Amino acid sequence: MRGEDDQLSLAELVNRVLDRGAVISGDVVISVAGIDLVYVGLRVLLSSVESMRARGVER
Amino acid sequence: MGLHPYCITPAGHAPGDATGLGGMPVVAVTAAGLAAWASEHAEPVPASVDAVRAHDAVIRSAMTPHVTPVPLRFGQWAASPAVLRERLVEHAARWSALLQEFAGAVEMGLRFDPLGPAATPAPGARARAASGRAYMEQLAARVHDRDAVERERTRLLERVEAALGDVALRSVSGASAEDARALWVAHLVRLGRAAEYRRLANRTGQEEAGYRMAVTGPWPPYSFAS
Repeated sequence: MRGEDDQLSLAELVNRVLDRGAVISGDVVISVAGIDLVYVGLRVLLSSVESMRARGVER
Repeated sequence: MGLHPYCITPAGHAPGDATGLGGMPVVAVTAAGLAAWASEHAEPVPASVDAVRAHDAVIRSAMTPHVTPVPLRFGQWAASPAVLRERLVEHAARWSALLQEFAGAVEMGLRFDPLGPAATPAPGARARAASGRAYMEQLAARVHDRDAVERERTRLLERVEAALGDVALRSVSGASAEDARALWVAHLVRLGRAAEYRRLANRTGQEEAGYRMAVTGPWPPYSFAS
């Protein structure tokens, strides 16, 4: 149960930090340091990267 | 070199000796009565669990009983302090209004995950829709399922708002990316009412037997800053 709670808290944190919050400019660039992001966060991250590529934003 | 920004606060709200990503010192760049907390790096810092935690930790260090910062999304970059100052001037009206709204408040979160697996079509069912009639029947079934999911999510959300509407200043909600039947809700709550919120939310969760409900928070108000 504790492990599940920790995982949920981490997933909620990753969702908020990577997918919410104010944006100060038009571009948000997120690169992946490794593969240690939890699945939920990684999907958000990949979605962010793919949507940026679709708009032609490259770093 | 450039700056990784974390949050916006009123000008004069100093980071002190706070450190951010990679242990770099956090500084305040000020303009238009606002301050952007940021740390200097050679290049944008990649996302990782540690970086996400460090980003959130800086924002939390800016929170006091009277100041709740406007959290910034991870992954932003300013080439220089001058660029950050330009952004502060550009967004001053909006961020000043948010700071006023956020003062003394925190974000609390709810997540409802349905118990049991979702109904799935029989293997090969879609492939067997060789006839137009069969195709239309399958399409109608999918629309019906989607409508049923939407109605249930609406019912659940109304239940949550009835239980917590008096405690919350504002709310936003959405479906989970992993399961359309799962619901997440974020509420902006006065810091002094966070415990009451948690108690009322737990009672609501106990009354919804078909779901596993989790209460999270307090958070900086990420969901209300976008």
